[in-house]
Amino acid sequence: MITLTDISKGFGNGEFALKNISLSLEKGLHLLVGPNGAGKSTLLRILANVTYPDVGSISFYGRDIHSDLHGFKSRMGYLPQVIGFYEHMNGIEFLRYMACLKGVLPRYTERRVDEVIQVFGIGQHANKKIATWSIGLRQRLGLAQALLNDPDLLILDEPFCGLDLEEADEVGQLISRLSQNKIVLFSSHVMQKLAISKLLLLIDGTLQFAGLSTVFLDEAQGRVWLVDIAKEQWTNIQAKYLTSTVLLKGNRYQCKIISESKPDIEGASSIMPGVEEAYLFWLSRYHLASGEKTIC
Amino acid sequence: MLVSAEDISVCGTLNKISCSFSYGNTIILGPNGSGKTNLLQVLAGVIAPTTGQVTIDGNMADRPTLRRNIGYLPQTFGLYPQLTAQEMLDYIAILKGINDQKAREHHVASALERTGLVAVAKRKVGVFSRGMKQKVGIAQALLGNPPILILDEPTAGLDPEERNKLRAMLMELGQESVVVWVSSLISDANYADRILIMEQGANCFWGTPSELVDRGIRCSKASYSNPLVQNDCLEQLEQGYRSILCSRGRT
Repeated sequence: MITLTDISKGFGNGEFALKNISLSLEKGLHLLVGPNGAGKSTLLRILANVTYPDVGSISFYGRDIHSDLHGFKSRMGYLPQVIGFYEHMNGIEFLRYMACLKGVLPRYTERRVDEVIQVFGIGQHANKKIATWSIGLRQRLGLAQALLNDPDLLILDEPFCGLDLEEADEVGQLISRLSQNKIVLFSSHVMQKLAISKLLLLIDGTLQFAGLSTVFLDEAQGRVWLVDIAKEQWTNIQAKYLTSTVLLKGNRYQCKIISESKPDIEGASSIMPGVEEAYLFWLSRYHLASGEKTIC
Repeated sequence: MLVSAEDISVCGTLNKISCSFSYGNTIILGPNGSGKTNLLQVLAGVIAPTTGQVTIDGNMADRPTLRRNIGYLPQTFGLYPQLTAQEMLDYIAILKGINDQKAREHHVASALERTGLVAVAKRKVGVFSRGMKQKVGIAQALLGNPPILILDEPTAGLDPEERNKLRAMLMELGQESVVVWVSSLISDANYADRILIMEQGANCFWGTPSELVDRGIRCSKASYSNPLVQNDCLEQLEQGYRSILCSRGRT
């Protein structure tokens, strides 16, 4: 288990990137969501020990990570949002180099490199220069390097970004499998259809929700409406309501509206919220509480 | 206005693809490596095709003509971190040939307004989040009100709220311009008037979101067994997309 206690991080101008974050994560798949600039990457970087909190502590299986930083790093894997590759190296050379930086013992290096290549299905390309690799392959290579030390804690910043549907499916299934015996925390703007152990919602550097995704969805129950409108009504509807998925059907739009009360639109029917609608509901509730924006 | 790609080939990526884009939103979907970005680059005049031509309203368009008529957002977009959003856009406006300062100020203000960047216009782009940088990229494409907008992955890296705002903005832009954009998110296709699906450098589907949904309804096999997933139009859209790629030999 990893536990964060009262983690705060400032920008240095009196504003906070993260404010009093406390949470515990056990083995399983955990999703971190929030708007751009909410502090998700900062939180993941603090967990990965790339940057440090101003105050607060982190313990890993009951032990402060700073009391044995080397031990913690050897049990942690991290995929940053933007990962730099040495383009002139091939996949195997890059992974060998990363294994060396991560402190994998030389006698285990070849075996681990072979294993992660197998796991991520990049064997066919492993001998080709990284410069020739597609975005999807590079993302898999990034994930592969994070697994070189067989970590107990895997931190992934936007692992699905840039992947096509097929690749996202594969990576999704893979990280689900890995989470059976690891703590896997990943951030994403795309609400993947994965079975999540814990969902974390970060807004303006504060944790607004940490719990089961079913509870997250339940809160939005009865506040998501499906309406069928004429194309000309779209601008008005959009100005009046918070909208989610829209589907163009000839000259009509079928869209989902997030609203506390039934919208004043003929034929509006309540529907089950999806994760994205629930996310928008939580966000609007936060804005409402902070007086920024209201939902109807 | 009608922009057409006629029998376009680019060595190793595009294979005699022909397609036409008129007013409204057209989204291009397809697996990574299917040639989406290359097609946009040809349309935007960034690269020349090996064979084939691009026409605007039936007239052959050379690369300078394309560049004059098209606002283009590339997949990776470089910003000068020390400049503010306003300065960055002003600089790009100069590069686009908008020499009159008053006209430039007007175009920059309009682009900032349309992309919701007014509040952060005086902030340095170096401190911007990925989503905000993406908006600056879209704002630069809007400079000079080009009649054709070519956007490569405009929704990548945006949070759901920003994504919805951008989609709504693209829908509005589509009412008065030709908007062609690439996305990896199938849900983006909901907001388009037309969908082009590419595979191995060729056109393998051309139709409306409803037509793709219809394809999806006929194939109901779900990829995940999560009970939270609703069997809604997005799911059907994904199924439609998968079925088209399956029919082309992809699993």
